[in-house]
Amino acid sequence: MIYLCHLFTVVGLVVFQTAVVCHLGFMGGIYDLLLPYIVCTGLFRPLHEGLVIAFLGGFLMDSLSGGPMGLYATVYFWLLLGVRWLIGFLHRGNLGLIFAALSAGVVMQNVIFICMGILLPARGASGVITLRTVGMQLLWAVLSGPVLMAVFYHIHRLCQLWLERRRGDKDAYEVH
Amino acid sequence: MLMIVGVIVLIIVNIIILWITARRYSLHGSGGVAITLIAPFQKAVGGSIHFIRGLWGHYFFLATVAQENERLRQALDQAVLRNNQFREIELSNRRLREFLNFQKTMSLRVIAAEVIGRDPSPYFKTAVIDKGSAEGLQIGMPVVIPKGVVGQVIEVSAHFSKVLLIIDRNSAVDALVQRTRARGIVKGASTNRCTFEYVLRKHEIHIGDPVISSGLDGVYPKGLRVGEVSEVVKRSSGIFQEVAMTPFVDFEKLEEVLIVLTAFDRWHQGVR
Repeated sequence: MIYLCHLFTVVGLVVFQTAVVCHLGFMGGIYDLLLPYIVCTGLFRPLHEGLVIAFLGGFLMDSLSGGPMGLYATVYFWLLLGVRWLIGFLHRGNLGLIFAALSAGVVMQNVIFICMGILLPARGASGVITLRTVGMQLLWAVLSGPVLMAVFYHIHRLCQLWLERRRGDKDAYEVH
Repeated sequence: MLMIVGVIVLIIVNIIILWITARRYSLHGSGGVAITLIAPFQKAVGGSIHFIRGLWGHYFFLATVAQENERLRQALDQAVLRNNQFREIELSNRRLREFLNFQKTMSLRVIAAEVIGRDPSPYFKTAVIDKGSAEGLQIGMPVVIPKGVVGQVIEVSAHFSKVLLIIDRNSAVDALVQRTRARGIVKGASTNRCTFEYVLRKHEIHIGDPVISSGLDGVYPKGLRVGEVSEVVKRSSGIFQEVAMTPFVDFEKLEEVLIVLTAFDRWHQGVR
């Protein structure tokens, strides 16, 4: 059930980014919306769920993008590992951690894309990137990231509660 | 220590995987699977947006003006295309009159498709369209609109395809300046501009000169409008000049495209 919830959310975010954002002019410079989802999963969900989301989301994004297969999956995988490493010594509900992780995710994605362009010119991204693009993405991340993460967190919580309630009903039925 | 070694190994494995996948466009058709899964949702969402937009544009907001504008825009597109065709024919006539043997260079069989998705990354420029192998599309087919060249098909699933736009850094179009016939390669710059490379210094090129496809790359038929020269830099040394080109197509507003079937068939039969 929780994986179904992840699947719907990931597909919804991918569709939103590829089919809706291009129609909304004011959202032109927005960052990758799967980043807050990865950060949220890294902070509040078990590692195995995070890994499934990182590779599923990465696969879908890589398939729809013109970049080499595995580029998005790379970003999500290392972001997830980074977040998991950070919560080893920081409190996971810390707002500063959320901002830092999300901003680091946005910067890391841009850096990896540019590095791939330099290392693998055959299919790499353009090395020409303005600070404006990264700045715009960071601004969007700071403004909308925590809100999105709160939404994701509550979606996970609702799914978890629903699952537990169902389990409880099932147990009660079996005892009965 | 063990963790550091593990991370280093993971990074190396990661780079190797990316290096391998960067050398080919699809990994055992896995990209097509994802497109097949996601594209129907994109189509449904895109359709809903078009419907709402159309409802607003046509019925609630300046109904007659919007319709008139749409009609005039279509008429203008047609006129631009015809004007370019006439210009090309005029130039061809002048050139080929000396050879007495004129052959009509192009008669295109095309199929229309709707753009239903865009590349999620600002670094790559691709689009997903709602036609696939079931409609006869194949990898390598050129994609155009009346205003000019859009790109080429790089991945095909049953009912959806991925198009590499000419503004992507990995795209290249063999082209020539319509007025002077100076030849070069139009390459994407991942912005909304392209570079027109390998143009010899000896050719006189002016800002505003139209650039058309040469037909020599085996992908795009000859004479299709690509863009116009927007900047020319002649350095004191070197055999080529630096030329920037602005595509005729507005990729931000790309909604419908035409996939050229005939030229592709003809070319590949010729190659065989």
